[in-house]
Amino acid sequence: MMAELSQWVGSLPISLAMRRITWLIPMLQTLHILSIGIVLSSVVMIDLRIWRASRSGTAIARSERFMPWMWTALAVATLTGIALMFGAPRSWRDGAFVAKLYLMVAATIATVALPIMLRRNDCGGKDAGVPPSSSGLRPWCYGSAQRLRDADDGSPAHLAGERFFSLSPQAGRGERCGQMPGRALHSARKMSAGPGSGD
Amino acid sequence: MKAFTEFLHWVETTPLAIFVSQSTYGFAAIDMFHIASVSVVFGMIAILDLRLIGMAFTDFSVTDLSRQVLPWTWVAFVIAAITGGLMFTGQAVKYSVNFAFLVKIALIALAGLNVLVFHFITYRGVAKWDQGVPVPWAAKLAGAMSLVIWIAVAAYGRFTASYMFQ
Repeated sequence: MMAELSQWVGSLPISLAMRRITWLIPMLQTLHILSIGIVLSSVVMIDLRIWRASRSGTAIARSERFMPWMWTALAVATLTGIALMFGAPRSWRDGAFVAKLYLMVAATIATVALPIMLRRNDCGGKDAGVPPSSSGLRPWCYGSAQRLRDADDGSPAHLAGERFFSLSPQAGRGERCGQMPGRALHSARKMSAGPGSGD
Repeated sequence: MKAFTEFLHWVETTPLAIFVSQSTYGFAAIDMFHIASVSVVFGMIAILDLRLIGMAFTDFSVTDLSRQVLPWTWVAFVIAAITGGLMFTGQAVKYSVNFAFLVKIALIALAGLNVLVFHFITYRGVAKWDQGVPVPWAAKLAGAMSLVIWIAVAAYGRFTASYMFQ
């Protein structure tokens, strides 16, 4: 089906006219590739913050910082892509092009969902969406844990544990904020109770 | 020059070159990685370039942004160089007389020179202009050059392909 469609598009006057201008297709391809590069680098910059490979700012601020670049570049990539469909229709007669379109739909949905998820898991604007890597606690949102870590200046662990709980009620706007799995809750309580209290 | 052409002819006869030029999907797959990695090189370095020029991301410090951006740029550049080298072997003689290809290689060399000057001279004083103060003109120039050069590299890459396969 795509083969016939591409053949038909290739016979359109606009397609013929585009191919007569020798530099047009490489120029459109360049714009297409460069704008995809901006999309990719924006994703990397947002994800670096989410993965905590970078710690400057909050994840939400980071996503708000790079999303406009990403959407603008995505629009340019889409427009040049559509133009290239007319200019070089041979490139989309095989299955790879259809696969690319499906992947683009998936990627766009993920991009729309990301800031929504970040906001939903926002802990008082502090941090969101990332489980702490070392402690083994895996709450969705751990703004309070982040604050704990920030406040952790070598004070004893049980004190730190208490701070976690004393901070967590105010920490979150969302239900999930400060939520901890049962086992971790248990061990944290034990910590704050101090050694020898027994249970 | 004759010896060089002979060398390029020999390159084309190596098993790797034969795989690149003969296999059905080999070239397309390598090309895919090449284009993807070049686009990442551009996308990542453009962030730092725009910061240096002062057009965007001025809320990040230069060193913080460099730390985040440069590892990705270098990894992507190495992948682009390897895949580019592979594609070259397949039709080494034809590439060596492709004008757009030669311009592209010259531009990459210029980009390398720009990086060396920036890294070993300009960047040494980064502590003075890391954040909150205007970036010195040498750094601005390095950012602008990098941005222009990488856009041109991508464009001449596409022209290389369109001359090769027309």
